Amino acid sequence: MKRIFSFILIGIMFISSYAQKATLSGIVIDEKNQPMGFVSVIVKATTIGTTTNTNGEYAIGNLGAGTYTIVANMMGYLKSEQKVTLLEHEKKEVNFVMKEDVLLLNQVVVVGYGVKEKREVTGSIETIKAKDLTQSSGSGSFEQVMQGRASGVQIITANGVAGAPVKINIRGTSSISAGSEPLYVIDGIPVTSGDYSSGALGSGTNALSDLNQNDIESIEVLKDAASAAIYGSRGANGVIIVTTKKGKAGKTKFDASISSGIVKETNRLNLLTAKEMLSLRDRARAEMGLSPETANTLIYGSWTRRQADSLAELGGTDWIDKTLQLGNQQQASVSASGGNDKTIFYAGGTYFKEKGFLKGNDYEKINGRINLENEATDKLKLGVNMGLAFSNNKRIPIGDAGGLGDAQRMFPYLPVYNADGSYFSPTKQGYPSNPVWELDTKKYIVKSFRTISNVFADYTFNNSLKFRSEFGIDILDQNEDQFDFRNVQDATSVSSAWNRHTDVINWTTNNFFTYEKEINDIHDFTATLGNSIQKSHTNGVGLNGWDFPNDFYTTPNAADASNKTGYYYETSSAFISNFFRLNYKLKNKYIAAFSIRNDGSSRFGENNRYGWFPAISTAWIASDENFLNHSKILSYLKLRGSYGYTGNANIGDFAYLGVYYPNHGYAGNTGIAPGVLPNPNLSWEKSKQLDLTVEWGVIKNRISGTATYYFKRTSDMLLNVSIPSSSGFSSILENVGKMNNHGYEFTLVSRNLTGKFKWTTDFNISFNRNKVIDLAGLPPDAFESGEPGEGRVMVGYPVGQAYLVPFAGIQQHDETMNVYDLNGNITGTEFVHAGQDLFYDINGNIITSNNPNFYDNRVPCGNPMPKFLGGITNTFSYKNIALNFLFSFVYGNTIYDDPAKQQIGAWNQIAQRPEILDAWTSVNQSNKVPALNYYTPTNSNRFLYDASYIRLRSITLSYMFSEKLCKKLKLTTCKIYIGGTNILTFTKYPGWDPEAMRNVDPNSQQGNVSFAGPSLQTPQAKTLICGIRLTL
Amino acid sequence: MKRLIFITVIFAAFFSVSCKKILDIDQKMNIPNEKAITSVKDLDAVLIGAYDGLQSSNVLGGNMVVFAELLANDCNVDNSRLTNFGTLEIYNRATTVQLSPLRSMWSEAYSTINRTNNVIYVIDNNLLTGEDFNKIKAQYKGEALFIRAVAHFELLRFWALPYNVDNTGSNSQLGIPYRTQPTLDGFANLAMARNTVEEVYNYVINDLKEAEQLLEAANIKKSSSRASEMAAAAYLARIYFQKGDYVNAAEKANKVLISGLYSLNSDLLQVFKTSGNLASSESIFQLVNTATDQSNGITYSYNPSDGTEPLFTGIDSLKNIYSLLDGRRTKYISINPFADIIFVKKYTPANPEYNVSVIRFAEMELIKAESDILSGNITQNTYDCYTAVKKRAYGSNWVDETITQNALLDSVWIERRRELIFEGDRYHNLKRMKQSERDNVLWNDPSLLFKIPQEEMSGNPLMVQNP
Repeated sequence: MKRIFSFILIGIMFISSYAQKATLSGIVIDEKNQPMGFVSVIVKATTIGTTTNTNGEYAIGNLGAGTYTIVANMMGYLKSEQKVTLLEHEKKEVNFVMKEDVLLLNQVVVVGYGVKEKREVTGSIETIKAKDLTQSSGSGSFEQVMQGRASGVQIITANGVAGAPVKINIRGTSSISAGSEPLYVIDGIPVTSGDYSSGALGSGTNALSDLNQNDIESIEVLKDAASAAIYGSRGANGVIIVTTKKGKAGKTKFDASISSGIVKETNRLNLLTAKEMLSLRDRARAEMGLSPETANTLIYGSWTRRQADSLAELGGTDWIDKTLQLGNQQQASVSASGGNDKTIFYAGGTYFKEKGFLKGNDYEKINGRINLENEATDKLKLGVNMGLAFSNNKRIPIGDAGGLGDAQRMFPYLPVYNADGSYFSPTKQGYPSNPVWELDTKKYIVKSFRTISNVFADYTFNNSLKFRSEFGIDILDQNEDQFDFRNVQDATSVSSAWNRHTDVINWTTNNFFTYEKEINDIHDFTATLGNSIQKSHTNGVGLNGWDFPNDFYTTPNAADASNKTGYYYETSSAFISNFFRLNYKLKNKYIAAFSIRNDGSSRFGENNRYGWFPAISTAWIASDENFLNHSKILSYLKLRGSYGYTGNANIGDFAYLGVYYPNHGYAGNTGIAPGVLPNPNLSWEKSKQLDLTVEWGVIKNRISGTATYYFKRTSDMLLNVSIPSSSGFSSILENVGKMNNHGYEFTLVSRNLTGKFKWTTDFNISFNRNKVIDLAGLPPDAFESGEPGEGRVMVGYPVGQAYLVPFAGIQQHDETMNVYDLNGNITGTEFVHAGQDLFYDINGNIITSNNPNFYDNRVPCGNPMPKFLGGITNTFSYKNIALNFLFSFVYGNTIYDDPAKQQIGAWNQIAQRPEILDAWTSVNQSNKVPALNYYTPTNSNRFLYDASYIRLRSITLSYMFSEKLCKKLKLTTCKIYIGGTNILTFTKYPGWDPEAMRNVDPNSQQGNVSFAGPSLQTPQAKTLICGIRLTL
Repeated sequence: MKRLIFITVIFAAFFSVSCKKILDIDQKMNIPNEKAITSVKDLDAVLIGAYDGLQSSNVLGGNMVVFAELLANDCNVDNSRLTNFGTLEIYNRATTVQLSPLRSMWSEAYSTINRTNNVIYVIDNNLLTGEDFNKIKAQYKGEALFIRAVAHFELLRFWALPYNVDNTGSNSQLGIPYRTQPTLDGFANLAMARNTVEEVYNYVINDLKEAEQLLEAANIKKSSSRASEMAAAAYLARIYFQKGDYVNAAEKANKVLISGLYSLNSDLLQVFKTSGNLASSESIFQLVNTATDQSNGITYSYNPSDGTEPLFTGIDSLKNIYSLLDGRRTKYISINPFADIIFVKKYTPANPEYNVSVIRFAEMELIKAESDILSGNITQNTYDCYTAVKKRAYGSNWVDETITQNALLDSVWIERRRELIFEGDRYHNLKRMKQSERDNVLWNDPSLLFKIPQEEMSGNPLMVQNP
């Protein structure tokens, strides 16, 4: 924006520079005394200016007598200012030495309703540029690119399925029952995010995965309250601002790229082979005192031991292998950008297609974008950003829904097909279904169309005052077809088909004034005042039909009227906001900012419709002080601090309203019943945050970094507070809970080598401590009523704390043991077999799982949140070759692997992991795995695993063709590259992949609380891609 | 400059005023409370909602029967079908505040009570007007009182120590809160202490008596799916009987017996196998299930499910309680000659569309017979009531028997077990008779009681937990 502005000014200058007044001229050189061309030199606070020629020379004439500040500016260099006093007709020479802007201090940062130079930013904002996005291609959503790159941002991708949900926590989880996702803003428009597909397949989807990474110019992550407070009641979880690409005046530049690669799972779960499984079976039976199985013993339905043995001889069935494949992906992208002094444009299109590593999982998307800006008059600029996306996602069942989930449970000594070619045991009550049959007979296609577009107008009243008006729409239109073919071997089984349609329409308008004023070169004010209105409407409708007259039919229409059912839902929300921000800069080194927003939302109760969200921040560029100015070592030092209030309005629509629910019919009459009690005081969750940061650079900024401390207190958290359930209601939603997040973030950039061979290291690490402070007396189990071991919430512990009975080893000999109650009193005795698993009760006594109060002995175990996480990127370049790789790491968190409870012990129900071979026997007196004959699957911390990992998250090796060769080929640049994601993983986690999440909506209470207990995991995707990129 | 500020202020004011309306979004999916009851039709919908609450498989439509059988001594239980954090703890008489089926039973029963209180509140305070309203007041209030009383009574029998029949009039052990006001405001003081068992019985009896009168006034003597005068009388008989007030029990049972509205059906199983608004001639009050509203939570527990045994099978000694000529020997149970397992056939097949029989004519006959004996009013009718049940069971095999007065009580007791088996009666009846439950647990052993659920304990400062 600023550059365009100066470009126009320069144009005006050329026309008017021939008059007979004072003249200014000079030369601009860099630190190596090389003259610099194309540097803009302007007279501050005027429209007068020029650019240097290739010799670094400039001249500005036609100046009246007076004192001026002359500014030399060029992208990639620090702005340089000098004061001159000119007499009438004087000819003065002013020369500039431009210092390289290693820290990109003059680069603009998008801050919400405006931009700021990085140097002047007073809050904690991470910026990720386009170049980082393209380096890690893959099917993943753009959010994943931040993993390991943005400090303080934890990103967990649910699994490697294309379009999988992503859980993002900026500086920890800030909520329990409300959403903890950040606000996403694309080109000024808060957009719809989340999962709108049905949860029927054991995993979710992510509405943002349809966006095109190639269109993104930058991603800004607003982490502290002072940055996010301008988004008021939606800033508490942080804000992610995405800015799409714009054109540049000049010759139209074409950019084309094509890439292709393979996709594979990061890891496979190791399970016993058919032979091992059968010998385990024999061993278990012997230990139980059962006679050995004969060849004709039926061991699974009508499958005999003989058949199992002969299948095992042939290697058995590797069920996981039957559901996985070597996938591939292709991407083709074309864009054009350019313009003239009146109009600039960017137009791009991308086609992406992936055949996933899970059989049957195909994903394709087509994206198109046009961004256009036109200077209608010298005061008025008009523009449009239009993005379209269409995706076609063939989903498959995973996890608890089947497919790979069942493949990790199915016995390896069972065949895929019967001798006659039909599927073996398609379904069996209490046992896994045949995964191959599931994948072959269950179809689920999601087609979604998305547009995120906005139009805007900028009006310049004068040098100081500008007005901008934006209007944007975000429409998501999703159509889902599901068909489950009947099991032909079961005469009672019928086919079933669903069609679901979801529409999310969301519009926003932002209107704001920006006022900039400098007084005497000392005081510098920028003020923004405006308002914003947003409305969102969602509706969904579905029709289900089953039992079709003929197998030809695969859509619900063909079912009889009595075999149809459906659903409808709709919901809306609206926000109306006013905001004001004032930045004040004194002597260009003392900076203070104040912002305040007033938000009203339809989600808040009548008594609390509007809230105020103020923030203050300040910064001191200490290195510009005289006493530090000449330091040989320290080249940059900025201290800043901020404090502010934000809110979390992710509390659901109409939560404050007392309502009766329909669908309470009886005996053929329709009925209603009181459903929710009203809470007219219901409001957003409140958050206040302190942020203290030092930004520094040493040795001419060869090494630079930041260090941050922050403290975030969330209060008024929404909790379902118990009320006497004899009132007819069990709870009322109230703003009562409290939680803290505090931590440290460190970043370091080191330009290790700067010569011909360049080496840069980028490192970040963040430590966050999440702690629940107040739960209004609610017990841990009030938050998830499922099995113990899933996350719970407890005062003094992080959200999602695993709550388990501690494992105490294995009983080594038959013994009669005391039975204890919760007070430590002996209430009786119990005979305990050698090989049984033992546990500690809350008093430290040894108990067995038969204890009547067994689950009352649960204690907090492990930690769902990492102690620290971060990433390290190394970039090497030599001549035309560049190598870039990012290791991301997560340390100190645990995940509860519930299937392990069955896969290490329940040998006669599901497939087993190798750990089972260590089961206790009188010879192998294991203290880890109970004997095969006395095992009942019991949740305990035995299945809580350390999920720390280091991962080669992305790597790219690229080669730029020489200019000579490019010219021959009539290209501007040409780059070929090879790269990949998730190539290597180092972890002690024995399961599939330490980056895992339970099948829950990440933006819900379940997502906040039980994310760290994945079930029947699907691993992440590993990709290896090569591509070529041309510009002309 | 001033002009600019002026423009700005006007601009901001314009937007915030004209757009404030944008925040007023109607909730269309659910009715806001203040719009819920504005006509007689709406009131009817809330009353229907109360029946829906009672029909729930967590309440009378299922678990109130199933859990009683888990604790009584008629059934063997298949351990593999007991669930952790649910039926397993109930079976082991070690319930906790956290068991979700018990939390659901408590909260859904009280939610049902709250629905009735909303109906009664509207009627008592005349919040509606008009001719239609005046016409239905007696009927709706009578139905609501009936449901309110039944829900409280059935909860009481699980959560409070049993009524000591030798101590009539002064059962001061803790009962449950008897709620008679609708909950409209979650911030009001909703805490309420437990009424004593005596108090709850009195409230229940008063409510049912009023219901009986109102339904009589509304001329609803009998209904196949809803409360009626006779249903109220029958429930009163059950309650008086449970508290050992045998004079009143006999009187109320007799009212139903002589009404001429019901009769024992020759088909022993029909009362368990009707669906929708169909009713057996012996059904006095049943909860209706239909193809699109299937809520029978009992049948599943008595039937095998794809290779697994049923949750409940009969205990061995049941083999001997029926004579070979007794139709119930093959209709209510099936004695598997090979497996030595007694399967229950009362609820076979497992069809969730079947109505749930809550109170039926045979129970009235048995209450009348036993109450006559225990209140010392033995007449020919006493014998007739006892014989009627037996006679129906024997059908064409029936031969008149003579029974001495001394043997009569024992005969009625065994007959009650034979007839009402697996209907959730045994557990409460053993308590009345002060006989031990399964595992020789005494009738008044506190371990039989369910724990007051967690939400109630933490939300109600006046609540006292069971021992």
